Amino acid sequence: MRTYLLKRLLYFIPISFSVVVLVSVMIHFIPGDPVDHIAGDFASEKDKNLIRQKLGLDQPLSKQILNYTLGVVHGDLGRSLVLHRPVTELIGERALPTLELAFSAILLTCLVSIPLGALSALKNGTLLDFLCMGTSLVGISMPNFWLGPLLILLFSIHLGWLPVAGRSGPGSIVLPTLALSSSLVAVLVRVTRTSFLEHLHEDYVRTARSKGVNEWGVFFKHVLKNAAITITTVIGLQFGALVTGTIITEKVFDWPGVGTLIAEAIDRRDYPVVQGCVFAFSLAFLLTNLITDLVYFWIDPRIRVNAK
Amino acid sequence: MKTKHDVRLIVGAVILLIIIGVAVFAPLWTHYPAGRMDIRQRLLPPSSEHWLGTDLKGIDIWTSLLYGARISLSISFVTVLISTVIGSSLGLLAGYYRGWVEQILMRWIDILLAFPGMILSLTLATFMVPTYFSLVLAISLTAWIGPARLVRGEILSLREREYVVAAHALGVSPVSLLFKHLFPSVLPIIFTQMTTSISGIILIESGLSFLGLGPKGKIPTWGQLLSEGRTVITESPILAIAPGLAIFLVVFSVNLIGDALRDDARGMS
Amino acid sequence: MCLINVLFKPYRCKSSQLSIFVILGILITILSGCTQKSPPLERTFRLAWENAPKIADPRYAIDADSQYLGDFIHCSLISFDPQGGSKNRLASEIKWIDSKTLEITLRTSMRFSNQRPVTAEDVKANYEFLRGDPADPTPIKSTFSPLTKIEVLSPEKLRFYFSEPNGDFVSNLSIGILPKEQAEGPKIIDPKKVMGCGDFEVDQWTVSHIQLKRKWDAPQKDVQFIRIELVKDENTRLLKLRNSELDLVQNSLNRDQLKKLQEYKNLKLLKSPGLNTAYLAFQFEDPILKNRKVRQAISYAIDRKKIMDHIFHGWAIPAATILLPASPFYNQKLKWVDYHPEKAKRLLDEAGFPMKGPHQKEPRFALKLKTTTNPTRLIVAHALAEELNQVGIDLQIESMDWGKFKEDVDKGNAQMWNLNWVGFKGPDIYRYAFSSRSIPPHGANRGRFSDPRLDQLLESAKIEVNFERRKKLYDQVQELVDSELPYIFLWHEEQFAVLNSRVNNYEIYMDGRLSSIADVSFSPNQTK
Repeated sequence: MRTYLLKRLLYFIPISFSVVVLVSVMIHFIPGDPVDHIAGDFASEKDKNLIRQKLGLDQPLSKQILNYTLGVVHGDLGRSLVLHRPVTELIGERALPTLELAFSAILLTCLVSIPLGALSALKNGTLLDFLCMGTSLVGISMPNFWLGPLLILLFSIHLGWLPVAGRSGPGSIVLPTLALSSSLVAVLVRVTRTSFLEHLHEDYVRTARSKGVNEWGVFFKHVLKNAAITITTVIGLQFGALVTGTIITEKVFDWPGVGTLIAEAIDRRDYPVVQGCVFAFSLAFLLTNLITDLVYFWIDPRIRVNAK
Repeated sequence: MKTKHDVRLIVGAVILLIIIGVAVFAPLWTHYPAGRMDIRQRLLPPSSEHWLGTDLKGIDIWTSLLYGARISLSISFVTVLISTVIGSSLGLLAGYYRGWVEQILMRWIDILLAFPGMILSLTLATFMVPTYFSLVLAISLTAWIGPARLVRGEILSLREREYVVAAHALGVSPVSLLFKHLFPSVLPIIFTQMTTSISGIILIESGLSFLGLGPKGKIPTWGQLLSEGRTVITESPILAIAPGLAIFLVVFSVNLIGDALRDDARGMS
Repeated sequence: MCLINVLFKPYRCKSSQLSIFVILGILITILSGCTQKSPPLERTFRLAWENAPKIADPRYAIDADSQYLGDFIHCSLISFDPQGGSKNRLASEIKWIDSKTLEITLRTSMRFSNQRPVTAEDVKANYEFLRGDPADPTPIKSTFSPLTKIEVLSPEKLRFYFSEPNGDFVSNLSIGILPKEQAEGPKIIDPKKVMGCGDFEVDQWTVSHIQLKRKWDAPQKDVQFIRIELVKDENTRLLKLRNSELDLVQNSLNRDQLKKLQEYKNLKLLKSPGLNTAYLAFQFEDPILKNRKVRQAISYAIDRKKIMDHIFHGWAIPAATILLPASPFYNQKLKWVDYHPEKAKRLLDEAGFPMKGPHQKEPRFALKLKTTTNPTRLIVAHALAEELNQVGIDLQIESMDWGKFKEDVDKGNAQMWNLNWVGFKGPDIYRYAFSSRSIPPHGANRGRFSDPRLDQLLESAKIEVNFERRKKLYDQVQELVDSELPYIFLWHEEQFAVLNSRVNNYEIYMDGRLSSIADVSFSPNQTK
């Protein structure tokens, strides 16, 4: 058991390090001269050189990597080219709203898709199943920068039930959460359904049924536990889509989180901020994967046995 | 069971073909030149002259939708093609030759996968001069991973098959083995993968355009139209709905087709 | 509990783990709405701005938003009334002792946030900083260079000594006053640390909003709190107004939407002439734009009337210069430029830029116009491009975030740009905008325009005390600007304010400031 944990943690370290290295020299992989693009037309050579200096591009590659890595260790991700404030400060003041949004999206997803997927599996082949699958296909195909404004049109403008945008008042988190979780819910419903379907016909379920355990008991104790592994994995994988979804959803709803920070930085071509956000998101992603690995390690005793 | 997928396949294919057909023959369906603005005709509601009305600059929305379709669809198709070709080739080589080629590829994929979603594509697109090809390049950067892994996995299992081992023993050159036998065997998988990835790529392309990273020409992509539509949602809700609906229809139909093909394949094996 | 068992019997944990997860989740979701304590609605005035004010330090606050904020949290020697005329605020009396000496008497009732009264020492410290030479000088330093000495006579009285007579100087006394310790120090970055002597102080300042609180209880005033939401998206501002989530949005809305807004019962619309001028600026270091014929051609190529009718729906008057026709210094002989595309084409041919290509259908040259993300300004930019296209100029539009736009334009990294002058007080604006000594960071001559005749006129006018002679000099200034075209003047936009119907007694100030908010009253029970 401990070896599995250790192995997992050990794997985390080189990957995070590679991420830091890659992020620090990311700019060299961009074709063309990004400094030209950042400085804009009509910028003087002097201005461009100033930018190169600020981005550390006038130093050898190894020094760039070293400086950035040391910076990361000390919690310094550079300074915004336009706002002149430290990137960590900018991210820090917006981290909470983004976490709230991400959290509530995941929560909604779990609360909605697991029961729906389960229901769909249990009533396999009926109209309900077909409707669920159809709706989930719609959900996957819908871009959330379309769904967002549609929700605003319906719930804020037409019905006036919920605030339009921004983060003020308890109702303001509802629409962004709905928009963000739509594709997540859709994917998870399918995965849950497939996973349950696979397990429903397994031997141990039949054995439990024959022993007289009732339908719901069977469901909760055994099927859920086994399906939980697949579900957790998918949530972990979907985190990637969640990140990009967050950027777009925050922009649509004016939600003051890290997503709007990176969207604004894109508009301003503020390289250090984009770089810092890429790092932050990637780190969060790696951590989430680590946590999901550990979570399903706890859930499934078989993995623990195998690891021994 | 069989009738169910036939319906999906047919419906999906029909929708897709209609959209592509209209886009390709765009000038037939509208008499306005692309991107023609007239500030005297701003924000008009739908009428016989402007089927979907006009936008903030006085450009006919239906025209924008048609010409925008060409750009959005072609960017997506080209990206899928390029990323599949590159990814499959790399996967083929890695799976067959193994050794350090495979190791480097796999480590590289691991590192790239540490970056969530389209964040790398986003960074690339932001700092390159925004053109058609910069967007293709930016998306292909992460899109090649899917086909690469798939093909490698398939090759790994295929190379242990008897006929391969036999051919090897008989002294057939590895190159001809690769091209004449292994490659055709993975083609169906590549094809199915393409249908899966294309819907994702269309969403990524329109997402990046929505964030302002698309090609900046006279003709806006669907993502850019939607971005503009958001700002006039109360006066011209059509601009906020139509491009999104178009994207949705394309992705939905591709997914329908993909679903049908996958179920078919599963049924067969 | 589960957390203990998690190590040994995780399979017993599933449902309880899940329920903890659920409870935590619900808590956070509820808390997210409650993290910011909202003050009572009946005493809060809520408005929305497009851009966040950059800075609260009045010595550096030169952009319009920072000045509007300063109105509430700072007090200055003079302020302005709704018609743009100056009135005393911190000062109780201002008089010229002789042509080069100004005596100022202060009111004794003004205090800083820490209860300390404002004294002449504080005022002296502020103006010493403004005219002085610190490491990071204020952008308006040149305005205060004629100020040679400041003498404090008593805690309420001080004298300003000038090197030469300066007719206009009093209107410059509108800078907020900081306490002596802060005025002598470096630029204050944290807005919450700024100590002002205005009626309000900064209560909250986050990424998405700024909340001001009245410093001392004023029970007869309805407005105790002012909440400024920072809403970048125009449409969101509009929708929030519709939903009664805001009490005011002034000017930063699309005029297309205004017609519709009047139909809503919970909103009312106020209009007023505005002290603003929209213009198209040129970069004089550019080889093409250096040529006067090109600039003239561009001026003739623009159909201002069409734009004013269709984008501003008639809520604008054509502009011939920065000053408004109502200004006492306005040169009555100036004429509004006519739309004349044929003349434009001819001028361009004469300037040596014929149409290119085999059939002379290709554009003569390309230019790039930088603009902000403000939707109205952006549409204007596109309309301008369309007009210029008709005479053979390929105008590319680049719209960017305000912060970057300002930086680029100030550094001279823009060929052309369109912007508005807002809230200018007197003809001294011509010096601030066009003098060769006003190149940023010393002024707003972003186009690097340089004309020695103009410089001469501006210097003479600055020290002229006699009104008739000053007017003559400024008339010449306006004529010179009109013929040299550092800007193409477009129009003066009318101001408008969309208010929630619960607001009474709001008045739009000519220079766009929002001082009226503090004195507004609310009708009870009228928030939907």
